[in-house]
This record gives sequence, C-alpha cells and structure tokens, in this order.
Amino acid sequence: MTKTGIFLCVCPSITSAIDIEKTAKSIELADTVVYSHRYLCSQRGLRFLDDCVEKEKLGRIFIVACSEDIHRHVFERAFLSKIPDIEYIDIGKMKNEKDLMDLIEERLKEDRGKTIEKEIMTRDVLVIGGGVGGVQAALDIAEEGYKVYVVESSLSVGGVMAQLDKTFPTMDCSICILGPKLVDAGKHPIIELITNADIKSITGRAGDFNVEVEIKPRYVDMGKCNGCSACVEVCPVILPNEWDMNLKSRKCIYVMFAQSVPLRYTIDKEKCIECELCKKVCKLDAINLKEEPKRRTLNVGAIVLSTGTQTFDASRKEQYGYGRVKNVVTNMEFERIICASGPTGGELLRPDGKHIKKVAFIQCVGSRDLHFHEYCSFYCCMASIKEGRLVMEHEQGAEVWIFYNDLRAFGKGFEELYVRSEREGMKFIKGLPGEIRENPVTESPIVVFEDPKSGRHSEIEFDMVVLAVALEPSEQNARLAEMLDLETDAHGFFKELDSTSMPLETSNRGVFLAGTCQGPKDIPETVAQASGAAAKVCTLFSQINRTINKF
Amino acid sequence: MSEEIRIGVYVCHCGKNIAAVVDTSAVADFASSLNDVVVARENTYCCAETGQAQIRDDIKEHNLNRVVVASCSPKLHEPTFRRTVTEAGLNPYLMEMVNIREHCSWVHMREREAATKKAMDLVRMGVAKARLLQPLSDREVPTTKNALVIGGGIAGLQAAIDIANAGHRVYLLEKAPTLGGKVAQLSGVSSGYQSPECLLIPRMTEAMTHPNIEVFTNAEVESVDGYIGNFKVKIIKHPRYVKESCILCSECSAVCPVEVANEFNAGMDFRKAVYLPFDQAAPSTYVIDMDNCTRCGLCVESCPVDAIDMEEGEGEFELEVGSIIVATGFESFDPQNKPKYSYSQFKNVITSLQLERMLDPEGPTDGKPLRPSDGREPAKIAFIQCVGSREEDGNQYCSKICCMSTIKQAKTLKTLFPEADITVYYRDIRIPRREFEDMYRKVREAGVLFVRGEIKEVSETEDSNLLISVYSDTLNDLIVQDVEMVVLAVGLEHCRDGELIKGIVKIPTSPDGFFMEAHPKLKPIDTVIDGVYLAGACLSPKDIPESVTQASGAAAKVCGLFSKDRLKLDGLISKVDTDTCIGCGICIKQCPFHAIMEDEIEGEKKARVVEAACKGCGVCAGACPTGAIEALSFTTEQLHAQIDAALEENSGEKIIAFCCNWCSYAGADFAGVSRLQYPSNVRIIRTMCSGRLSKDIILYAFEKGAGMVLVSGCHPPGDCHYVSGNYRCEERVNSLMKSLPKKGIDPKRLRLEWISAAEGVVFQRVTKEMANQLKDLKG
Ligand SMILES: Cc1cc2nc3c(=O)[nH]c(=O)nc-3n(C[C@H](O)[C@H](O)[C@H](O)COP(=O)(O)OP(=O)(O)OC[C@H]3O[C@@H](n4cnc5c(N)ncnc54)[C@H](O)[C@@H]3O)c2cc1C
Ligand SMILES: Cc1cc2nc3c(=O)[nH]c(=O)nc-3n(C[C@H](O)[C@H](O)[C@H](O)COP(=O)(O)OP(=O)(O)OC[C@H]3O[C@@H](n4cnc5c(N)ncnc54)[C@H](O)[C@@H]3O)c2cc1C
Ligand code: SF4
Ligand code: SF4
Ligand code: SF4
Repeated sequence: MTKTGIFLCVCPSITSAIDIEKTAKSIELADTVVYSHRYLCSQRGLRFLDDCVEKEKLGRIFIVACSEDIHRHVFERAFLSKIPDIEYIDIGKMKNEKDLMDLIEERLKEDRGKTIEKEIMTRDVLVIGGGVGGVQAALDIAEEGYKVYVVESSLSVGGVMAQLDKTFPTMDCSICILGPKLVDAGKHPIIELITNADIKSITGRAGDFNVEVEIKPRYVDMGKCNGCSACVEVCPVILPNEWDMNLKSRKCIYVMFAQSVPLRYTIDKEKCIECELCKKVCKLDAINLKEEPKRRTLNVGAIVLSTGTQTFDASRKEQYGYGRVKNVVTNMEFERIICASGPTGGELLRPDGKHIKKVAFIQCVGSRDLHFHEYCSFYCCMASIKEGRLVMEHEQGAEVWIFYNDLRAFGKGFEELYVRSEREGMKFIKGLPGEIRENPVTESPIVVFEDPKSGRHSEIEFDMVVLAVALEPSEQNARLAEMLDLETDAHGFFKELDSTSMPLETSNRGVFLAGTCQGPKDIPETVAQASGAAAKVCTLFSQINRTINKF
Repeated sequence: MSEEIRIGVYVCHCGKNIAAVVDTSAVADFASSLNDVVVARENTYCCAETGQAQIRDDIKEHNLNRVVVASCSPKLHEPTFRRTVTEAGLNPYLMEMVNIREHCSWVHMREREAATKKAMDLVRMGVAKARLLQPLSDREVPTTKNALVIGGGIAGLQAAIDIANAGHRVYLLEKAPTLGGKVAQLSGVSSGYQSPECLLIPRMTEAMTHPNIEVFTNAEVESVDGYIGNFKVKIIKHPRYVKESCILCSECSAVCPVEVANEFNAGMDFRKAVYLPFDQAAPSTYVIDMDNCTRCGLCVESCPVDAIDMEEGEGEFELEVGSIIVATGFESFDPQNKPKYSYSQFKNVITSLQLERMLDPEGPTDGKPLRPSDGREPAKIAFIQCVGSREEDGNQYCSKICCMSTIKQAKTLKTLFPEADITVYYRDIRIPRREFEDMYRKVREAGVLFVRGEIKEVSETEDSNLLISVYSDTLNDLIVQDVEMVVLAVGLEHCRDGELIKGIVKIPTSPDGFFMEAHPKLKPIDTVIDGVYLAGACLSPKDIPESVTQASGAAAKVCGLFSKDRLKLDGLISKVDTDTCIGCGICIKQCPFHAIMEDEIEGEKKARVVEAACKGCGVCAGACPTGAIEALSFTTEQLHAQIDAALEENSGEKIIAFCCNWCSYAGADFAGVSRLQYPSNVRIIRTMCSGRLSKDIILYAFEKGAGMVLVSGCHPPGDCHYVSGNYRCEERVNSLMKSLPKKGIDPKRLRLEWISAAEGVVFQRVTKEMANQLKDLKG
C-alpha cells in the first residue's frame, strides 16, 4: 500500500477563509501523512517535500496551495519523475474547511490509474487584429518558424498607428516606421493576411482550435488587381473618407490609405450604383460585382488577440460641444488634419480655410471620469503634447494650451518632452474646463474654465479645440471572449491571467494577449507585449507531445 | 571593370517630412543631370509598397545596377531598401542611402533654399559613392543555441524561464548571493491577486530546478567577445564559502559575532557576516560576506554538516552563447543627495523602500510601521512624491512607479491605522496601471489627503516631529505642516552595476543613464548590438507587469534567433590586396578583434583577414601605410569620391563631418529627430568606426578645400563598438594636428569630438561652434 502525503502551504500571503494550520492538525485519514510548511513553492519548501517523500516512501502527493496556474508546474517539474501522481488543490477556490476535506477525500478515493495522454498540437497560429501589435506578434512568431494567419476586419492591416502623423516621444513619422513593417508582414512567406474578414466561430482548445472565418467580398479580385488605380479615376460616386475622419472624400472604389497592405482596391457595395465604369476600364479584368462572401476554416494551435481599441464618442461629453460647436475636433481627427497625407495636405487649416494659430487641448475626455470610464487611457497626455508641438512647428508663434488634470508623462523620454515643450512656450493649465461654447461670429470655440492661479472664471477663444478622447475596448471583444471562454474586465478589455505577473496569458491556455485590447497603452508597450506573446506561443508549442496528467 | 554604371535615384517626400522643406522635384531634376544616372524620380513614400515596387520595376526596366535612395536615415531603412533591390535581382550592397530627412529637412526647417542645396550635395555624394559600390556577399555562421541572461530579478527570471521552456539552454547570472532582485523586498504589489512572494518565489524555484537553466549567483561578467550567434563570455563566480550541503540550521549566524546593517531590510536592522539574504532566498544556502568577516572561525566549528569552507576560491567559467539578455534592473535614488529632504539627518524621515520593509509581516517591525526615533505608531504621516525624479538639476525623468507605490502604501497604512492622518504631497498623480485608478479614488474616499505642491524644506521639531514647508500653486502660498513621519517616494535610477555591463557588452545609454533600445517604437527590446536584448527596469523605470512582458518579448527574440541553425552576417568586412601588402603587421596589431593573421605567400609575409571574425570596423584600413587593406563599402576610393562631391561647389564654406555609424551618426540622427536646428553647411560622411579614418583621408578633405573638418566617434573609454577604434582615431588625429601647420593648414580647422547616439544636442552645439569659427577664420 503506498502512502499519500498531504502538504498544506501556510504562506502568509494566502488569503483564505480556512485556517490552514488548524486544518492540517485535524486531518486524520488512513495511509496518509499530513504536513504543513511555509512557502512550499520555495526551494526550501521543495527540499522539505523531497525529504518527506524519501523518508515516508510516499507514492502519491497532494499539494494544497494557492494559484494553480502559477505554481502547479513548479511541483510537477520537481517531482513528476519520482511521483507520477501529483494532486493540486487550489486553496483559493475552497470556501471552507469542509469543502477542502471533502475534495481531499473524494480525490483519495478516485481511481489512480489515470491515463497519461499525449497532447496533439497544430503549430499554426492565428492572430486576430492586424494593428501594430498584431503585426509585430505575427512577425515574431513567423521568425520562430511557425505559420501565422492574421485575420483583420478592415481592408488593411495597420490599425490606429497607420492613421497617426508623428509619434511621441521621439516624434518620428508614424507611417514611415510602420509602413515597412506592414510590407514585411504582407510579403513574409509564412504569414498569411486575411483582411476584410470576420471570425464566425472558434471551437477546440490549446493545440487544436478550429476557427471559422468569413471573408467579405471586395468585388475586386485580389489575385488580379495590381493597385493601378485606373478604376478610381472613372468612378463617379464620391463619398466621405472615413480614414480621414470624413474630412476628405474618396471614391466608391478605393483603398483605405496609400500604404495599405494589401494594396488592393475594394468597392463600397452599399454605395455602388453599379454603373460598371470601373469594370470597363480595368485592364486586368479584376472587377466582379457578383462576388460572394467566402468561408474558410483554420486549424491552429494558439491564438493571439490583438483587436486594439476604439475611441470614445466625444459627443457623449455634452458640455464640450463636440458635433455642435464648430471647430471642436477629436485628437484622432486632429492627427489627420495635421498629417501630411491628410485632408489639408498637412497645412494647419480649419474647414473654413482659416489658419490655426491658437489651439486648446482638453485632456481626459471620457477617461478618469466616473460618468464614462474610470480608467486613464495613458496615451492622451503625451499625444496632446506631441500634437501641440506639431502645431508650434507648423506655425511659428502659434499658441498651444493644454487643460489637464494630472499630466501623465511617465514613459521613457516623456517627462523630458513635457518639460521641453513647457520651456518652449506650451501652456499647461491644471484643471479641466467646464464648458465649450461657440462664438457665432468667428465660429471659434470659447473655452470656459477656472484659472487655477487666480481662481477666477475665465473665457478664452481658440481657433480650434482638440478633445483627447479615451480608448475603449472594441465592441467585438465580448463576442470573441465568449467564443474563447475568456473573461473580460469590468470595462470590456480582455482579462489577463494575472495583471501583475502574467499579463500575456489568459485563462485559456492557448490564447495570449497583445496590445491595447488588454488595456490602453502606447506603441512601445504594445510592441513589447506583442513580442512577449510570441514567446508564449513558442513555449506552448515546445511543450508539444509533453505528457500531461489527464484528469 | 568595364560594366556600364546605370544608377537610379529616388527622392522621397516622406509625406511632408522632407517635401515641406526640401524642393524634392528640384533635387530629382538635379540628380538626373548627374553622370551615370539613368532615372531619377520623386516618390511620396519610397518605403511604402508602391514606392518599393517603383524601384523594383525600374531596376528591371532600365537595367539599373546601382540604386540611390534619398530619404531617411539608413539606420531606419537600409535593411528595407537592401531587400527591395535584392528582390529585383540586384546585390543588396549596390544600394546607397542618402539621408535628407534627419540630416537635412528636419534640421534646416526654416531654410528651404539652403536645405534644398544641401540635399543636392548629399545626393551628389551618394551617387559618387554608388558608382564605386561593389557587390558583396553575406557570410553564414552557425549559431550556438544557448542564452545568457544577466540579472536575476523578476525580468531576468521570466526571460530565462521562457527561453528554457522553449527548449534552449540558459545561463542565468546574478551578482547578488540570491536571485530575486528588488521585488523580493516589496511587501505588497496589490495589483492582481498575488503578493510579491507569490509571483517571485515560484519563479526563483523554477529557475533553480529547471533542467535547462544553470544559475550562477555571486557572479559577474568579466568579458564578452564574439558576435550574434557566437558570443564567448567569461564569468567569475565569487566564493560563497558555504557549500550546498548547508541545511539552513542557522547555527552559524547564531555564533557569528559580526553585525552588519542588513541591506535586505534597507538598513533598518542587522544581519550577521554569515547569513541567508532572506528566508526564501535561492539558492537556499547561507553565504559569508567576506568584506566584513573577521575570519574568527566560530561558524566553521558550529556547522553540524561541515558546510563552511573559508578557503573556497573564485571560479572562472567560459560560456559560449548565441544571445545575451541584459536585465540588470535599477537602483533606488539615494535621498541624501537632496539635502532639502533631510534624509539621514532626521530619524523619522524614511524612504518608500524602508516603508515597504516595515509593512512586510516578516520585516524589521513585523509588519507594523513604527517611528524609527521612538518606536511609536505614527499618527500623522506625510508622503513626498517625486524625490529624485522630475527635477531640473537631477534626474529629469518620471520614475513611473512611485505614485502607484505610494497609493498602495497609503492604503495599507490606512488599514493598519484607520485614525492616522495621511497626506500625500505630489505634483501630478501618475498611475500607469488601470486597477490603481480605482484604488486612488478609494484611498481618497478613506480620507487620505492629496495636496499638490512643491516641497521647500523638511525640518525637525524638538519632539522629533517634522515640519514640512510646501509651496502650493493652487493657494499661491507656503503651507507648513507638522507630521510624525515622512515617507520619501524615491525614484528609480539606472543600476550602477549595469555600468560594468555597458562597458563590457557596449550597449549605449540614454542621457538618463538607462540603457538605450535600438528604436523606441519599432525595436523597444533590441539593442544596437545584434543578438543582445534588454528586459525590465534597466531600460527605463518599469513596474512588474511591464518588466515581465518585456522579458518575455526578449525571450521571443532569442527563440526566433535560435529557430535557425545558421544565421547571416553582413558582408561588410575588410580585404587585403596581397600585391600591395608589405607585410608590416601594423593592421594585425591594431585590429581590435584579432581578425587578421600573418600569412606567407611565395615566401613573403602578407596579412590575411579571418572573415568570420572580422567585424568590418575598418581600423586596419585606417592604419595600413600602403592602403593594401580596404574596408569594403567604405573604401578609400569611395570616401574620396564622397569628399570630392561634397566639395565640388563652395568648398571653403563647408564643414566635412566624419561620423561613426554607431554613435555620432546616430547622434546626428537624434538631432534630426529632435528637430535641433544647426548650420546647413555641414556634410556628413559615414564610416562604421572613427578608427576607419586615416590621416590621409582627413588631409584629402583639406586638400580639396574643406573649410573645416570634424572627426567624431564614440566616447572613450567604453562606448566604441569596436573596443578601441576611437583611440586609434584619436592617435591619428593628434598626430595629424601636429603636422598640419607644416602643411600650411590652420589646426583650428580640424576638430575631434566624441558624440554619443543620445547627444543630438552636442552635435548641434559642435556644428554651430564650428560654423562660427569658420566665419571667424575667414575673417
Ligand atoms: C489620437 C491618438 C494618438 C496616438 N498617438 C500615439 C503616439 O504618438 N505614440 C504612441 O506610442 N502611441 C500613440 N497612440 C496609441 C497607439 O495608437 C496605440 O498604442 C496602438 O495603436 C495600439 O495598437 P494595437 O495593435 O494594440 O491596436 P490597434 O491599432 O487599435 O489595432 C487593432 C486592429 O485590430 C482590428 N480588429 C479589431 N477587432 C477585430 C476583430 N474582431 N477581428 C479582426 N480584426 C479586428 C482593427 O481593425 C485594427 O486594425 C495614439 C492613439 C490615438 C487614438
Ligand atoms: C519602493 C518600491 C515599490 C515598488 N512597488 C511596486 C508595485 O507595487 N508594483 C509593481 O509592479 N512594481 C513595483 N516596484 C517596481 C519593481 O520593483 C520593478 O518593476 C522590478 O523590480 C523590476 O525588475 P527587474 O528585474 O527589471 O530589476 P531588479 O529587480 O532591479 O533586478 C535586477 C537584478 O539584476 C542584478 N544585477 C544588476 N547588475 C548586475 C550585473 N552587473 N551582473 C549581474 N547581475 C546584476 C541585481 O542584483 C538584481 O538582482 C516598486 C519599486 C520600489 C523601489
Ligand atoms: S493619459 Fe492624461 S489625458 Fe489621458 S486619461 Fe490619462 S491623465 Fe487623462
Ligand atoms: S510616478 Fe509620480 S512620484 Fe514618481 S516620479 Fe512620476 S510623478 Fe513623481
Ligand atoms: S580591424 Fe576591423 S575591419 Fe580590420 S580586420 Fe579587424 S575587425 Fe576586420
């Protein structure tokens, strides 16, 4: 008869309803020895375990300790070769002593001839969302030698970063540094980009997910179109361009932006009048107005979620007058206004043609606000400083005012940029304005605020007011979370396994997180996290055929 | 060679980045007027798919055999365009980049005309060099699939575990006697459900027991040689004096008569000279602190298992690794450097780290913070934020974690002492984690007061209470508050032990002292040295989640590298012309990498380059008296051609700046990125190392009429990428300086400057000064 050892960890940081030490003393079962030890998971603890196993010739052990995700493998690695039978009980999940005792007894009775099964794994990977996070993850995973599918819902990979003009803190040109990365991903022999596509369903588990993807029709044959743009010239339908925040127009047959990857045209079928002029002009016979959606099934071993964020609808913060007061814009719109490839060709003009010489930035619109999102969106303080600097670069003598709550400049080189901007004349006003009104004569917005120095009510007219809006989780997150049996947090961001120490993993062993879909962050953090997710995929796959205890 | 040269020139707008300042169509027109240029075009974004396609199409259609791309810095897109031309069947080394963004449009933003003229000069220089480019072939080398991780904090641990789990061997090296780093000292991390023990201890145990990980504690890196895939690392393991057979009975420390301030408890209590750093230390073996040991021998007698060996010597190991991860962490700011906080002067002024230790149930006060002066529970506590951060005259940066750590500590204090008055003096509350925003609200609701202001002074009253004078900008007045204990939220500084690593591994640092990443957005984990990556707080202040994330990222880079058996090295090496080599052996002596051997050809001594070992610095080429050894792609002929082209017009008004690739060229790029404006008469010529320059090349510039010449490289002693190239350069410049008057050249016209990759400001200052001097000299 083999003896069983029951080891209870009395770690001071276990917050449990159970008095572990007392429980340990009270357990009396046949053929079992009960031990309690502080920090079982420490090297000292393992040594203690080892000694007990030797001394009592234990054939089976129960570990009763905290967070199974983090600790189980520590014990398995140390003892699996000696004792194939390691039971792990997560004390955090036990409601009371009785719960624990019942579970121990139940497990003790269980047949111990467990099947040890080989896990079968497909080593292809699916990345959902092709922003800078998704693309970086795809590149790193492909570098490790695994085939990657990137499913992107829009027409091109690139995400928010592709829409930005410059990026803080170094002020490099955004598309210049992103563009080549996108091209690399597009050309990579083992990366396949599936754009304009939707995830329909996901089943299975780590090592063996089955994913149904629907590819929406572009009405232009991706294999034939070479991006020559002959069709655009003849298309008679002119529509507002969403890419430029509707500040510019596009045709009904279009590419999302000049550096789109893939650079293939698409017909906006809802608006198409089916005149077929494009079809006539296309020399490559690429246009097919009858194209139907396609379905594909992907079999992958791991999934990286990188669905990013959407921006807060500024009109919800009514007192700032977005949508009502002219020349109040969001910072995303402002990125397009100021961008060289944007609607005004990089000139700082209002829609009425007036030069912009005095701009106010209002921080925390939708963030750190109990009416909307309590969290901070992290990028917006620096984004406003960046945009403010661009204004000052464009127009000599331009005035930039930033109304803020706390100025959050905490990444590498951020504070330095803040201090430099202040020194160069950017004005920082502590406190958010109460209201923004329109001057009906000049059509300029007037910012109403309390001057923090004098405490007096003040009103200042600006040529333009820029609202630094919050980042919100993408609406589709909930659907994906359900398919993958994941949790989202109170705000709707995907939840990591542990926010401090396991920020990349999720409760689904085959699913990892990259970028802002896990919570707002800037580009450097997104890129680092994407690489991190690639490492997790690699470690998951190297456990292929690892024998696991099957319960 | 009789091959007809056919060059294509591409002038990039970079949106408006270039085109807003430089008249790109004029530059393209100018380019098409140059000899051998077959096509010259403008393009909105050369690097976009369409831009690249244009280049590829032209190569095929116009039979181009050289390509010049005038756009951004080669440090950004040289790999991109090399690949582009390769795809069209051209050898990658037949592409030359001309930097008209960082070195032109961004630094002459308000001088359209001068910038356009400069861009034309730069294009002429690029075309001149392109004519002489030769195809080179990449080298292939095998990879050693072992990794070295330096630093055993949470970041180093995570990186090591990830790599080991992916199936590769890892050496984990820690300078201290135990793994764990700073997280071991924290009492709580509060975000997430885990305590610091929970996230640290299992990782330490895993590192100790993982079959793929070999841990060296008490160890240091002595030297690093080699290159990506093939590093040779010497490490020294200092003796522990206690063998692994130690059973942790603690008899030894009981008898040890020496008491030393306990660094683990931030100096708030004592430990013995023989000690265990903390209960869960890994390896779990005692250690003797020989600096303080009196060698009395009492411990040796007391040990029941004879584990103590006072005579243990140093161990030296040589490791062969394919990749290195640096995770050396940070140091806490020492507030003694700021007298206004009166730290160490008044007992009741403590640091946040000391409070962390006091809040630990196993810390010096068993989890109850007490006033150091009298051991009483403090009823009025003040936190002071930004100590050692966000200063004009000190560390400019924000330390990122201290607001969060204060909120966490204030919350714990409020739970322990619900009646206590707690005030936080802050400038901005900066919280880098979502969960903490909620905690921030809750502590305010619980009564913790947050006051925005600037601390003027901390003084003491007779009963050891403290008076804080704060200037509040909301009240526009000085307020004075009386408290019983002050907690200084100290900032994070770069790790001084990391300095050693900097010298050995040669990773550049930012002005703030932290290591510098290869690119802040595209390559936040890579360093400029291939195969060396960064993880954790050694890069900038980071909290735990960010540190472990980055560590996994670094692990991914290593796994990517190790997924192939062989890897490619560039073809930039040097080559000996045996006809002109006189076998003097000077190059053999000067080569920093012992990459040149003595060979015998038909009885004559000749130099021979060992291709796999050559790093392409060109130090040999700069030294060779007969010009027999050449640095490929930076040949004397090519450099001459660039000088000629730069000085074709108005030579006397121009400043030729020779910049080394790693430091000063990057420094000039940084000036561009920061939009630091400087005179437009500077013409930069890039070499890999300042040691590539010979006296003759510098003289050539003067002969051709250059007004001024700047020679710049990496700071000595440690920054040079090629160990000692900067010294070789310095010797040559100094010797040339002496002989200039004889040649009728005013030595003031030559200047040598060390400019690092982060010193854009220095580049600006130096070029401004030189331009002024040039005016003065010309009278
Ligand atoms: C106005 C503004 C200015 C900024 N300025 C800066 C700056 O200067 N510097 C800086 O560092 N950061 C800046 N940021 C932040 C930066 O944009 C983000 O950090 C970065 O874009 C995050 O990348 P991501 O890949 O996580 O997400 P995203 O860029 O949002 O990409 C997500 C992608 O996933 C796709 N997707 C979403 N859901 C699905 C689905 N269900 N199926 C398939 N695909 C899906 C989307 O279409 C998108 O392409 C700024 C942000 C804004 C809004
Ligand atoms: C008071 C305080 C409170 C904090 N509270 C929190 C919190 O609540 N939540 C949170 O997320 N973060 C917190 N932090 C931050 C946290 O400590 C860091 O994020 C974390 O320690 C970074 O880990 P690291 O591995 O990069 O560096 P470190 O922990 O500094 O580890 C670096 C390791 O490298 C070793 N090393 C250095 N140089 C060499 C060398 N030359 N050779 C070999 N080894 C070397 C060091 O000995 C050390 O073991 C706090 C920090 C402080 C100071
Ligand atoms: S980053 Fe700044 S503007 Fe954005 S939510 Fe946070 S505090 Fe507000
Ligand atoms: S995190 Fe807070 S306390 Fe720390 S330096 Fe930044 S602003 Fe100051
Ligand atoms: S000096 Fe530099 S270029 Fe010359 S052989 Fe040595 S490593 Fe190669």
